[in-house]
Amino acid sequence: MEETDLIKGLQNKSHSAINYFVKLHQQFIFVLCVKMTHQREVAEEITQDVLIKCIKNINAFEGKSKLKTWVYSIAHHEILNYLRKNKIPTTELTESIPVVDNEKNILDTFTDKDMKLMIEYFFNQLPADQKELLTLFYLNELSLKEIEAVTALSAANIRVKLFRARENFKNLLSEKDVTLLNQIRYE
Amino acid sequence: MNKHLTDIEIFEFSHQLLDDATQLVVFNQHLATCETCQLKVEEEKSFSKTIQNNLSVNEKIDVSEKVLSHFQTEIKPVFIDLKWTIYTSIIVSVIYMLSTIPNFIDVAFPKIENLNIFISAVFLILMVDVVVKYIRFKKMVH
Repeated sequence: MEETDLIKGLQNKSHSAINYFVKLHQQFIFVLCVKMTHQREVAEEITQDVLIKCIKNINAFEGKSKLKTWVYSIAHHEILNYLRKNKIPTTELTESIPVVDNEKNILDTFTDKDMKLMIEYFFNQLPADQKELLTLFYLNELSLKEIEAVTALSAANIRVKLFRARENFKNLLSEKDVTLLNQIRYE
Repeated sequence: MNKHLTDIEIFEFSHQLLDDATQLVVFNQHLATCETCQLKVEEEKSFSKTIQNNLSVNEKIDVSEKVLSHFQTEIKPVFIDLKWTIYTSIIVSVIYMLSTIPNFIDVAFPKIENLNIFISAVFLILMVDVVVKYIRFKKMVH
């Protein structure tokens, strides 16, 4: 369905347009929500709320960006609202995690089985804004321009924040130890 | 360029985030001769792939029913939509045109027996589809 037809359909509350719109956008919103909140039920609820809000306010879409980018920016604000309501810090409050000088390729020190556990665990230790940037960039594969439109940050700022998020993540992974790995395994 | 690339430059280069064409050329020239930086770029790409693979969300979600039920009172029920009308008209027109060309059927479909039954079956399916759509439409209206 063409974007213009889809928007017209949503304005007219057409069954097929709503169905198409939801199926097109639900998965990527859910991915962002689940990574930011780390709770499946909450992520599903926010996804639903975002889609309903987009459909209700479709007349507010001015066409300056792609529809997908507009939907993403609404999701971004809804998630931030949720985090603020639940008093979860949305930006990095502490200094960056110190660099661990590890010349070896960090990933070589993990076994395949532990890799997913450790990566997920340390990803959730990151501040919310860094989690969001990493999710949008690596998982949702948005371009810098699209991330700019979603987060209202400048491209230069995004580059630096993205690099910092990635470095923090890498440094967290460098600090892994066997005790922690066992704790995570048996949680 | 004799200096090695910095970590942020390696990161930007690996992910094609550089928009300065001159800078890109300079980096490419340096990488052509510097094994250390080449290795760092490869490591960065490998790290990124690992993050993607291990952080990916495999669970699929479907909230279409819940969202549709939210707009239940606002959705206008449609008996037959434009797309169905167009496709059906095309199918019927094609069948009609082919059947009016006298020798076409004998020439084009010499091996298909009971062609009439096939065409009747197509029309029957269309009729059944219309009836089903009507029943659904009536349910939505009430």
